[in-house]
Amino acid sequence: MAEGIKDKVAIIGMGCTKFGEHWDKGSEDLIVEAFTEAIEDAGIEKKDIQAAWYGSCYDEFNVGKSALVLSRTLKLPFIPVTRIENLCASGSEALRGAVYGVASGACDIALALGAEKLKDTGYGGLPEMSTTLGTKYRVIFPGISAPGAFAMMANRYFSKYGMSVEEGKRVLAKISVNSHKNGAKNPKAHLKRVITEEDVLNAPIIASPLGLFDCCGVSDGAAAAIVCRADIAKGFRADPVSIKALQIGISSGEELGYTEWDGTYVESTVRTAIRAYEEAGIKNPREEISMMELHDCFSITELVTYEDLQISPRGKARNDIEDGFFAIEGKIPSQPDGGLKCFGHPIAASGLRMMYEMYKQLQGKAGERQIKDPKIGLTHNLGGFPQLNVISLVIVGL
Amino acid sequence: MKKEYTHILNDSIESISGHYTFFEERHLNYNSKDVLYLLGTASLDSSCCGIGGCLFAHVIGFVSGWHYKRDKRGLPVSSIETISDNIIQTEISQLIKADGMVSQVNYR
Amino acid sequence: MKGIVSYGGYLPLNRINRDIVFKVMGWLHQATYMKGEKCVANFDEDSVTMAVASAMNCLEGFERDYVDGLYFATTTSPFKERRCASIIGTALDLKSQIRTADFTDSTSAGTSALIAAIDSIGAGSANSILLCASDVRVGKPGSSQELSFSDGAASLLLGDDGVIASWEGYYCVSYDFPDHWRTENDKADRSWEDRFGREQGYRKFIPEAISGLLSKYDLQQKDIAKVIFPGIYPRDHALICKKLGFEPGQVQDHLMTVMGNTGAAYPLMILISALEDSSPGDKLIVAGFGNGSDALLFHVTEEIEKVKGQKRGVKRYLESKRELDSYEKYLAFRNFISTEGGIRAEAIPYTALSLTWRDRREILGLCGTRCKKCGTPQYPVQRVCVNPDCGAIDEMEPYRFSDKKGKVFSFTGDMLAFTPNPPGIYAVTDFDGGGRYWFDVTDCDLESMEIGMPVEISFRRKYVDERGGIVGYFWKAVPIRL
Repeated sequence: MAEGIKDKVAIIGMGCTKFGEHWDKGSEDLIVEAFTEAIEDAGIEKKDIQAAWYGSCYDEFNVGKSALVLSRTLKLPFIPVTRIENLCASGSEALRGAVYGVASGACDIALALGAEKLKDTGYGGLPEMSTTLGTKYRVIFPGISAPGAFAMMANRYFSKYGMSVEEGKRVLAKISVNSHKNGAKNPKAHLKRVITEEDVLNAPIIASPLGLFDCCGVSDGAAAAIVCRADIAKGFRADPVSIKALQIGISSGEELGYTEWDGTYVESTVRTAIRAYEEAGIKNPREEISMMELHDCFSITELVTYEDLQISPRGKARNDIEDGFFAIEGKIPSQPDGGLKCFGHPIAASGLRMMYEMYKQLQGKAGERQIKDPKIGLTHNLGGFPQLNVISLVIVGL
Repeated sequence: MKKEYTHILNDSIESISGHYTFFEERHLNYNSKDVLYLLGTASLDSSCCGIGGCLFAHVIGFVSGWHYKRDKRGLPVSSIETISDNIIQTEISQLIKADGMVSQVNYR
Repeated sequence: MKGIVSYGGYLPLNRINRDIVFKVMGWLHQATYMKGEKCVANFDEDSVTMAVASAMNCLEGFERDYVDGLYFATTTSPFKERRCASIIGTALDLKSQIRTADFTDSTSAGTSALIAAIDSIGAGSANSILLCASDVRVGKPGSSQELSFSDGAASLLLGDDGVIASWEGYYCVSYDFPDHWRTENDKADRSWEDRFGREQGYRKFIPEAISGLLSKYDLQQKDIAKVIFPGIYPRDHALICKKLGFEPGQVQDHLMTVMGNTGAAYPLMILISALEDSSPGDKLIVAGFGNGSDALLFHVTEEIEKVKGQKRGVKRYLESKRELDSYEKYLAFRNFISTEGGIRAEAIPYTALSLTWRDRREILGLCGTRCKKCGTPQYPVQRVCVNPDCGAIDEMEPYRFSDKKGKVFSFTGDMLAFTPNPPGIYAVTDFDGGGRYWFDVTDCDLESMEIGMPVEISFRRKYVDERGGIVGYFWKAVPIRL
């Protein structure tokens, strides 16, 4: 294996807007907010940035193609700026571009910024899936939505591990309750509301067996990171956050085209995790990881991700969930910022929003949500469906 | 399984992807047993992945003790036998759906 | 000997009890009341998709290459210009070197196409012709047609080998009879008074054709096992039979009460139901009705015993049904009321017709590929094998999935995905014999879905782009009905 990027690049500044339905703000406003916080946090000036990567997913409903919106909005002075799109992992892809740019030696300081403005479409939710599939797949794909695609995984999971729908929903409810408990303490969250298991279980079904509280919402938002060479990072601040691993994995199509996959896990996460742990030098993730921000677009996603990341044994995530293993005071707190359930999902901003929480936690600046003395944080950003997807895993530490 | 049910309506429960409210209690006679269920309306207008909504029924269970006490807030409490048998659930769901109003019937 | 080699019927799953319609619209014209129920094509069905369904039933057990021609008969073509027989042929994965034709504009189109098909075979220009007749008929809300018109399809495979009912002859009468008609802009039929159509048309043309046939071939009433013709006016149907001298036992049930008037497909559907009960040696007369009448004579052969109970004809479909309990839903399915789909539903992207043409066998024909190295069937078409242990490049052969059955690997009912009939149900399906793909599921209630449930694949309207006048056809999974 290649030597990887462990400890070659560090994050020295981050910014994140409040997420929510920003009827009064456009992408440009969100970009400026996230960027301003990030450079102030890093203590640098705009002219110090040598390259930038911009993530946005729904360009057609938003700011158009290319990275021009970023360079024009921030008046970046004719530096290389690249727009990146890889479904819901677009924000993590922007970070990867910046980190790889610095690690390659092509630049010393780079910006990664993801922004998404979804409330200008005239309807709730993301654009009709068929508009994003391309001219052929829109004809031959079913009328699928993301909740439905993940609901299919829940049905497989319940079936494989002999759980009744009622039992399964009760386990998923605990996941949602945990996120909401954390999110209620986060001033940047879209929804700040503690919920009860009762609230979750009384809610109607969105895509059987997933209910209203098993599914994340739509939001506008932006988040940004300033990264630089690890060896100069301490020159900017005393507590830079070092990148230990950064891996992307994407479906080969086997899940949906071949019959090996049993539908109870996400193959790309499993494989990407192996690579990420190797890159970071992590031997026992259950013991070594301090906290996680997972892509909890649906409660079932979070459940299988515990297993795919080798935190919980196969089929046993339920026990850890019921034991409070992932609670803020548990062994590996998950979704300390409230996750997608409380932030919503402005697509290309989410990956960097997760990193923002890990960054603040490692620096001890997470306020009421502060986890005691975390060492290693992990973000998991998933784009697409369990059957066809893009996975990003980033592992960071001080 | 026996449980207590506190009668409360019109609380709006909010989630990031929408909200729901139970607005009416209804009764159904099933084999001479009194089934209590709630009618709820839900709006799924800010989910990440689409838009929808529904009128749904939430079956509380067979009433074994109607308003047999009051809780601290003064709300009536009934004693309920929950319904977990799949066949009975299916039959009750069909009866509730017969009027063509609700699109889903859920149980606890 | 030439004649019918195989048959297949198709009735859509939905039935609406005519009382449901009458309760809403009966106040308008009380005299329209009619008992029983009628078939209702689902929102994703039309005359083309139902023709494919009946043809798949008809062709079961036959190599697709056996078919030399395809004639399609309908009065409700989805297109004014575009040959539906070619769509159906592609969906059935027939070879391209076949003769095709659409017969239309009269409810006699089914019998007319049948005569033409027999003539083609007789002339030696084809060994076999697949005839598909299908209609989705709509009557104006409140009209008697609304209660009597129905939806369904019939297919007959005609050839000169292995004939189950041989062709003995025909007698036709053709009149420009103005009992009903539609012009370019009419969604539903216009008609002259019912009494006129009944007294001057139905009661005259059918007896004229049947009597003509009997005398043309020097037959007596007693020689005929079954006389088969549409029961458009049920009371008059019985009168005609009596007047022609047929005993009640010789009269084939016209299915008006349980099925309704399925237009161009109607005479062929009741012919199929007669074949299902026929015995070797039976002589059958089938007559159509529409701008005159075609009467056809068949002689059932010993071969009928081989197919008895093996085919999906009409009778079992009559029992396989789901009650549509909402008249308004029926109106929405047939576009009589325009419903709010929301801006999201309007955001249909354009259809790349050059692409759907290029990949027609893959899309319309549901043909994927099978790897010649490892044998893995795969959909959609792949050039690089999806089996991770194989990965062979360009070692593929075509593989048709439309006639394979499968099992539900996983499923959901989705409240958010846009569909004209929520919830949207879809499922990842594992095919018997290999291959996995995901499909919309139709003709199905969410409550009945479970992992492992057997399904088959049905040709449907996937979407309609009103702006471009484009109907996107594709395949959906359905629970196995029969």
